[in-house]
This record gives sequence, C-alpha cells and structure tokens, in this order.
Amino acid sequence: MTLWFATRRWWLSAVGLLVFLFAAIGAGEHQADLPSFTPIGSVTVKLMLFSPIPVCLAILYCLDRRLPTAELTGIRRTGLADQAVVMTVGGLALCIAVLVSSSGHAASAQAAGRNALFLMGLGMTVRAMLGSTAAGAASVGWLALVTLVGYGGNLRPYAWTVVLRGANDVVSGALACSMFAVGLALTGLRAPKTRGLN
Amino acid sequence: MRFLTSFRISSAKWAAMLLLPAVWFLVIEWARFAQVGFGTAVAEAASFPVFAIAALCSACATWEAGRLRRSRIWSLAPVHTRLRVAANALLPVVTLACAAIGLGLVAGSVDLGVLPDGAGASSIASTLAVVLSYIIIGFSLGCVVHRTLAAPLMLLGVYLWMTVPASSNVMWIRHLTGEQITSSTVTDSVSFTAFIAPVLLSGGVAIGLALLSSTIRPKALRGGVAMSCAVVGTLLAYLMVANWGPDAPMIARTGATVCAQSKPKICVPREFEPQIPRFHKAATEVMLRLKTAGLDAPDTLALVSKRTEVSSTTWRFDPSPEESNEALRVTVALSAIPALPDCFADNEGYSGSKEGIRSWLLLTAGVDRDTVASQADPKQMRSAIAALKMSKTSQIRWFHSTIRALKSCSATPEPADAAS
Amino acid sequence: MSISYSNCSFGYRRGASVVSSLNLEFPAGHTVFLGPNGAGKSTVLGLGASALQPRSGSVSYSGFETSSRRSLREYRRRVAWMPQHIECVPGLTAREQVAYVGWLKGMSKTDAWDGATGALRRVELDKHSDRKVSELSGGQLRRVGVAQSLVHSAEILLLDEPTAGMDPRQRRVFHDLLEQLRGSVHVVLSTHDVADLESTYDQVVVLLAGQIKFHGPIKEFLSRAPEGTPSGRTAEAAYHALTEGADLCDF
Repeated sequence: MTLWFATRRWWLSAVGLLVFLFAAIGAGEHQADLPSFTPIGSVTVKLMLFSPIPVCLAILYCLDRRLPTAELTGIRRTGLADQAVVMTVGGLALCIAVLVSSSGHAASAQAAGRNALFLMGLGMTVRAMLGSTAAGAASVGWLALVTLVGYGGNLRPYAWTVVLRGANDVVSGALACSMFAVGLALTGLRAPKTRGLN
Repeated sequence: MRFLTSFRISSAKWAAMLLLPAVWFLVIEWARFAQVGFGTAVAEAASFPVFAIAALCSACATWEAGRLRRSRIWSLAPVHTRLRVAANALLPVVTLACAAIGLGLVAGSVDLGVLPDGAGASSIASTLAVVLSYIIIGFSLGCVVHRTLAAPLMLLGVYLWMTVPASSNVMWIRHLTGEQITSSTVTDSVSFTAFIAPVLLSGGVAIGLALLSSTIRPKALRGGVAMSCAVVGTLLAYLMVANWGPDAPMIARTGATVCAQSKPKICVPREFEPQIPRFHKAATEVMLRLKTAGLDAPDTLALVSKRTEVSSTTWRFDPSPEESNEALRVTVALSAIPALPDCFADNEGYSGSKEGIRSWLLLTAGVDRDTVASQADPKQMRSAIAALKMSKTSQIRWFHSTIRALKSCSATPEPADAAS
Repeated sequence: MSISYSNCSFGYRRGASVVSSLNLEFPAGHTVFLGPNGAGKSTVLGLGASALQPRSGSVSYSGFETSSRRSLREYRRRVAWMPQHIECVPGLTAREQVAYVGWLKGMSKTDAWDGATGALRRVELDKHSDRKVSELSGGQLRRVGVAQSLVHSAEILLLDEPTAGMDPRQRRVFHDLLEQLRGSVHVVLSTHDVADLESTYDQVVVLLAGQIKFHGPIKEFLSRAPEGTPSGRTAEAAYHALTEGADLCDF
C-alpha cells in the first residue's frame, strides 16, 4: 500500500487538516459583511465558513493523483482504499471542529466540521461527473453562491444552503452526511474516464 | 487561432453562463440604493460586481494556464512568442470580463434610466484594470501550481480579498481591493486617487509576475525587476491610502448645479432640475411662515457639496425627489439650521442639543404637531412649545443663541433663559 | 491460449457502434494489428484489456471472462495493456510509476520495485529510472509505457502503438525485445510502422470500420500485394489492396 500512498501523496490531506485547524482557530468568531441579495444589500457572515476549503482541496488533489487506466485494469482495490482514507479525513475534520469549538476558541467551529463533510462530498460528486478542476471550483463556488443568494428577506439562511445553518440544524446535518456519502460512493465505484481510445 | 474557436474551447464559455446573469442581478441590486437619473451611479453600479468578475475570470485564466501546461505548449517551441500564445489563450477570458462590465453598464442604465456620464469613466477604467491584473495573476499562478488547486484557490482568494476587507477595522486595506467602498453622490464625487490605489497594487503584482515568466536574462535581473514592480506598486498604493478613514476621499462635484426660480432661488444638481418647481413651492410656503416668525429668509436654497463655500444668504438643504410634499417642507424648514460641528467628538458628555430648535422650526413651518412630536424628544418638544408662547423677538433671540452655543459646543439655553 | 472476442459490440455513444458483432481470436505468438485511423484498433485492445466492457458479447482469455467479476481478477493478472496515451503522475519517477503499476497488478511491493528495475532495463531506460516521468521526452514516455506492461510478467501484452515517437535505434531495441519475448509471452500490437513486418510478427489482423478485413499468417497478408510490387514495399501494397477506399493516411 505504500506505493499507492506515495502516489496519492495522502500526507497532503494531513496538511489540509492542519491548515483547517489553524484556519478555524484564526477565523474564530470574526465576521465580515459580504455582498448578498438581501434587503440591505449585504449579509454578515462568519469567516469560519471558509475554513474547510483546505481539507476539501487537499482531498481532491490527492484523488487526482492516479493512473486511471492502470488502476482500472489492475486488481488492487484502490477505490476502496481511497474511500477509507476520505472517510478517515472526514472523521478527523469533524474531530478538529469539535476540538476547536469545545476549547472555547469559536463555538461556530462545530458547524465547520459538518460543512467540511458537505463540501468534500460536493467536490467528490462534481469530480466524478466533470473532473477535478471543476470539483474544486464547485466547492468554493458553493460558498460564494450561498452568501449571495442563500439568505431570505429576514436575513435567515435557507435550508438548502446547508453550510450557513447552525451547528445543531438536523436537516443540514443529514444533507451534509448524504452528500458526503454520495461523493464517497462515486469516488470508489465510478470508473475514471479512459483516454486515448478511439 | 480564430477567436470563436478559442472561445469555444475556453473555460470562459462556461464561466459566462454563471457570471453574466450574476452581474445583471448584482448591478440591479446595487442600483436599488442609487439615485435614479444619476449617470455616475450607472458606472459605479457596473463596477460593483468586480469581486465576481475578477474572481471568476482569474480562475478561468488559471484554468487556461493549466491547459497550456498540460499540453506542453511551452516546450513545443512555437513560432509565436510566449506573450502571443498567452494572449491568445486569455483573449476569451478578457472578452468575458469586458462583456460582463459592458452588461453591467447596460443593466445600470436600464435600471436608473440614464446613460453613464464621463465622471464614471474612472470607476470603469479602474475596474477593468483591476480585473485584467487578476487575470494575469491567475494565469501566472496556473503556470506553476497544479490546476486542481490553482483554480479554486484563485477563485476563493480573489473573492475573499475583494469582499472581506470592506468591513475590516483596518481602514487602509478597505481601499486597496478594487471594490469601491464609497459611492459618489449628486453633490460629491469620489476622488480620482481612490481608483488609482487598487490599480497600483494589483497592477504592480501582475506586472511583477508577468516579468517573472518572461525570457529576460539574466535570471537575477528578471527576478529583481519583477520584485521591484510588485513592491513599488504595493508601497505606493499603501502610502496613498494609509491615512484614509472608513470612506474614500471625496471632492465637490463641479459644473453640475443648475439654479432657477427666485425668492428663494433654488440651486440643485442637474439630475434634480425637473423637481425645482416642486421644491420652490414648498420653500415659498415654509419661508413665508418662518419670515412671519421673525427669521430672515435666505436668497437661495442650495443642494451643494459641504466642501463648497456658500454665501451667508444661502441655506443648504438636502431634498430628495422621492420625498412627499410634507417631508419636503420638513427638509426646507430644517435648512435654517446651518452646518454645525460634531460636539460629541471631543466631549462625549456634551449636553447641548439642536432638537429644541429643530422642533420649533417644524412647528413654525406648519408641520403637523403630532408628526413633530413623533420624531422629537419629549423634553425638547416641551421646550419648543414653551418657546412658541414667547414673543417673536424672544423666540428669535433663543433660536440664534442656541445656534451660537451649538457652534461653540457650549450648553444650549432654555427658551426661558433667552426670554430673560 | 489467446484473447477471444465473441460477438462483441461496443460504442462510446448511444446509437453509434465502434465495433459490432466482432468475432476475433488473437492467436498465440506475435500479432500485428493494422488499420486506418479511427478503425477501432484501440477500442478492440481496450476491450481486450478489460478497460472497456462490451455492450454485448464477451471477451475471454484462458477461460477467464471480463464480464464475470469472479474471473476478472485473474484475467487482469494475465493480461497487460499499454494504452495509446501514457499517463504520468506529477512528481513520480519512472521507477516509482512502473513499480506502482506492478503493485496494481498484484505484485508485492518488493517484487514491484525489482520488476520495475528489470522492466526499465529491458527498454534501456535504466539510466533515467530516477527522473520524473513528466520530464521525459515523448519517446521515453512510450518506453515507460512498455515497461509498465512488462513489469508484472503477464502472459499476453496488448500494446497500442508502442513505437510511436521512438527513434530508429529504439525501434530496433523494441523489436529485439519482442524477439526475446517470443515463446513466453504473446503480443498483440497495433502500429503504423511496417518495417520488418515479416521478421517480427506471425499473424496480421487488419481492421476496417470495426470489422475484420483480414486475419491470417504474415505470408498470406503479404501475398495480397499486387504482382510486380517492389520487395521493400510489399507490406504497404498489401495493406492498400485490403483497405482500398478507406482512409489511407497511415503510410
């Protein structure tokens, strides 16, 4: 498995988790007013919202480091192994979020763990359909999209935004887990596109 | 490569599907708060989505760079120069940026009912320069970083850089992002320097990165020149804005005031010219009542910049075309109070207040008592009503002594004090 | 033992078939696979490598079918494939990449490393084994691809244009390698290089628009050349005679 691990460079996902940890601590409860389609033209958003992006990008980058045709015609179950690592990283991201929120640094960090799962799932789902560059852009783009159009007239976020909802929101938690599960399944099962055949 | 072919295979094609509708809605959203008929606001509205245009276009540029890298274009020894190859790849992205800005101008013109004027050119030029800079920065990043990371990092980085500092407590950083923090009004325009600073910063960095990718020899010279451009641009930009407050500096708008009518003469920005008769009617009614109360009526009522000097017989007023007639009368009446210093800035416990004379003016001008009472402090309302019971001379004496006290930040007198 | 295609059909898009009702058996020995651009050669090799699954029909080797999950593992262990486009993982050296492919094919880590060293030596890339794959030239990259197919000692090699981009000396090395493999490994190879066809290959298959146009021994193929063809151009002439009217951009 060391050859697979070295090819994927999974240690980068550990770096992503570290950056997530520092980003969560650094962001804390800091807020910023971002442009939004609300009655007042902007909305106050916690910077913690953006902290899961390093983990998400790290996972996508690592998954992209592959030999698609060789893995497709090989007998090693690299898909399962990838799924196992992604699940581990997702779990660790949740732990980091709980750690930061319970240490008193930022209560909103708890939601960041759920958001990490959602964004990872979204990224992996888009990756399976459109490729890895679109995947990273989709995860980041989702955050920009929800800040722009995710708030109602009463400045409360819609349920579909997932990442803007409170940490205790059950629906968002379920949606995040579902998205993560879908992305995970597509990562493990879907055959990568083959090139050079005509 | 023909332009249409370039565009067809470019990432700009996909980004356009997201960006153009977003620009339209963002401009319409911004224009909600702008003055209808104000040409400069059209350009500033079109500049508002710069954060979206720069973020998406720079991510596209990163993508294009990654595509060129992947196809090993740079090692194929092309006939064309590197600059030409890069320009060809980026042409669709630049076109998208220009189209987005152009669409913004159309949206703003449609919503505000006026074409953009020349004063808005600085805003548009600054926006275009900033977006082009970020396209170059994105392309440079895409040449060295794997595209799985580069495109999303650029998208997120530019988006956060251009939106978060606007609400930062660090004042100087707000003015460097390229997002226009302060909007021009019908009386004041944003200073030209506010548009230069972000261009210096992003342009300096972009030129530095572009030089790094060039073939200037030796390498050390190339690196030195590139670094110098980036550092000088950044420093100059910082020095320009280091002492600025939350808003960008403004200058009085010149050459845009029209005057008409008499007794009093009404001077307003040209955008409000159709409203002059309505303003004059309200002014005439109010001035008659104030004159009856003993106040000297002004020769002119003017809506001009606070930075513009006015004569002693000119009162500044601040009407809005959307105001009702009743609200207009309130505005005219309150123009009797001249510009006053902010006494609370040096003395948080300052006890003086203009609310008493404010209420008195409104009641004298004939504004409904209940309307005045609903807006006034009860104690100050009682002072105003008490003043109305005094003789005309005492009322005028109280009014002027209150103005003097407010100008010198000393305690404002009660009506009874003025009567004695 | 040979790869057998039984009534195989495949298409990349709905309603369009690249190969249809293909019945083909690559015999033992070295087989050269010819055909114009777009004939479906790479698709047939991809089906043989189990990278693609046929819409109908089956592909089998040595009793193992690609459609059966149970036997797919054994099938893949025995069949090696070099695709037309050689991928590279940024940052991996040639040796690391070849070893990774060996590991994917079921070798242990140690065997994969040793196999990679041996495979790279066979294609004369041992001096470059510690260079990053992304820094290699096009011809060197194709040799990495050949090494990837050799690393795990498969029983049959499916090679898609292995000599494209190789210099004449490297082509000679490659032909020598094929000679070394004769008797122990079956090779099916698609190419546009018809130099030394007679001395290198045993069988010829010509594919045209997804259909077999010719399948037989090399001598029979060469006999299709019109009378009077100069001896150095027999293969070319035979090919033209078989594919008359098709896309002739190969030679």
